[in-house]
Amino acid sequence: MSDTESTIKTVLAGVLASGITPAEIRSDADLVEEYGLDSLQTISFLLGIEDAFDIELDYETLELDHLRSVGQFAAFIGSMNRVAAG
Amino acid sequence: MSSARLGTFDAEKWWRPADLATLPAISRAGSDDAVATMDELLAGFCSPDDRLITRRPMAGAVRDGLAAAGITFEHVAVDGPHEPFERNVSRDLVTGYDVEPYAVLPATAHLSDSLPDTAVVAQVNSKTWSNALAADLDLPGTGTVVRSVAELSEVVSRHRSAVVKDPYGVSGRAALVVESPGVLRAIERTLTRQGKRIELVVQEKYDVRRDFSAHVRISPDGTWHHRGIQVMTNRGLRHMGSSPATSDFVEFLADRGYHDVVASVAEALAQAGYHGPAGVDSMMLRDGTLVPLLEINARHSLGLLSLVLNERAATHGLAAHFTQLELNVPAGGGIADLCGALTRYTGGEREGVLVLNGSTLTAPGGRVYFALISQHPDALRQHLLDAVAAAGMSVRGVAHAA
Repeated sequence: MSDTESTIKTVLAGVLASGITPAEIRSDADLVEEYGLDSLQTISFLLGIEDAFDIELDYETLELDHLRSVGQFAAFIGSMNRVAAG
Repeated sequence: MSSARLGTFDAEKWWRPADLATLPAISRAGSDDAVATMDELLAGFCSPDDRLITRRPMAGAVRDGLAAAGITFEHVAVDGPHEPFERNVSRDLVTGYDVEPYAVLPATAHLSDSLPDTAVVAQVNSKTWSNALAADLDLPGTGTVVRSVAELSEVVSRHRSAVVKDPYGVSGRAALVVESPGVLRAIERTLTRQGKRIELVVQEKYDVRRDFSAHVRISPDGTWHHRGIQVMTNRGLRHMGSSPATSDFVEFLADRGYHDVVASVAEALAQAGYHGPAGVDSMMLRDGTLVPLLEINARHSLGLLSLVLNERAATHGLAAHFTQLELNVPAGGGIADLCGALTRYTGGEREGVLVLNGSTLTAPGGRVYFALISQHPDALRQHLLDAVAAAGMSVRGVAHAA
């Protein structure tokens, strides 16, 4: 598991606050269907992601339908970092 | 006189001034539709001669289940191109009835001359107003209203953990927990980018032992009566369910002067020109502090629905425990499958589950509200989860189920 995925899982576990640990979160699981992430938790999760990776998200244009798992988020953050570095 | 019941559940959206900046928010596919179809929950308030007006037709499985439990009404489905839904409803459709909207919006005013002024309703529902009232009454737990990014930053920094609330956010939603400088910076960026007026309420994030709400009904002449107290089950900042308060808890609250605060709130609402139903959200902290006035919902609410359902159940020696499930639904599945797998409440003294909505439930899933009609609902909770599985569905975030 990449460091990016590990950090995302730590943020997610904190937001879910259900007793689930980062290690118990699967990279390919659907965040809504499997972990019940609701709209308010999603915002808290995204704010936590911005904080953890020191990135800026544009909430008005963010396409969440393509960001449904930890793995997809990790790829998205990787692409943002590549754009920033490029 | 019988009532015409209708109304959109995202009332706060229609009260919010257009020049006000919003907190970071996202919209998932289908979420607006899910809120739009919550209006069938108003069936739980209906008497036999009432007319229920909803945006969508009601599924036979839901309607029949309500009827079996003794909840009957005349139903009319009205849809149209306008938002909010109330704009599609003509006055003719409610003539001869007392109009009982879920909430009084600017778009409700054309339906009746007996409703409170919409500007007053919007004002008393704002968290800025309830926070000012709590401060006037010298109550613990009040927040600070901030009107700039600089003020927001300064006030948030006073707390180890703060809650930043949109004054026109749905109760328990449109509120963000801020526990790190990075999260605060992200909120500040979003606010600055909009270039709009800022008005937010910042409170310490409390260590809550119990959330509860008191419900009153204020008459047009300014008199009011207390309807009851519901204890809420919250997940984070969001409402998940309600149950009637025990007599011990009600007595405890009376000893702490809670009822006097509720009376002061009702009188302040009446003095402001509001009449209709109102709920006062309150909480008991782990350190024993009572925060009696957190927010005011000067409208119908899920807590009030739970209370009314409990009043029905209590006539048979039972109680109503209101709950909700977020369901994953397979292709072709729907509410009839779930209803078919449940032991439903059919009136009288026999326990069962009352399905309160779900007419539009379809794949990939959605939220359904239930009342567990029982004095001891744990077995019914498990039965509900078993029925979900038997219907080929699953619960989102199973750790929080029922």
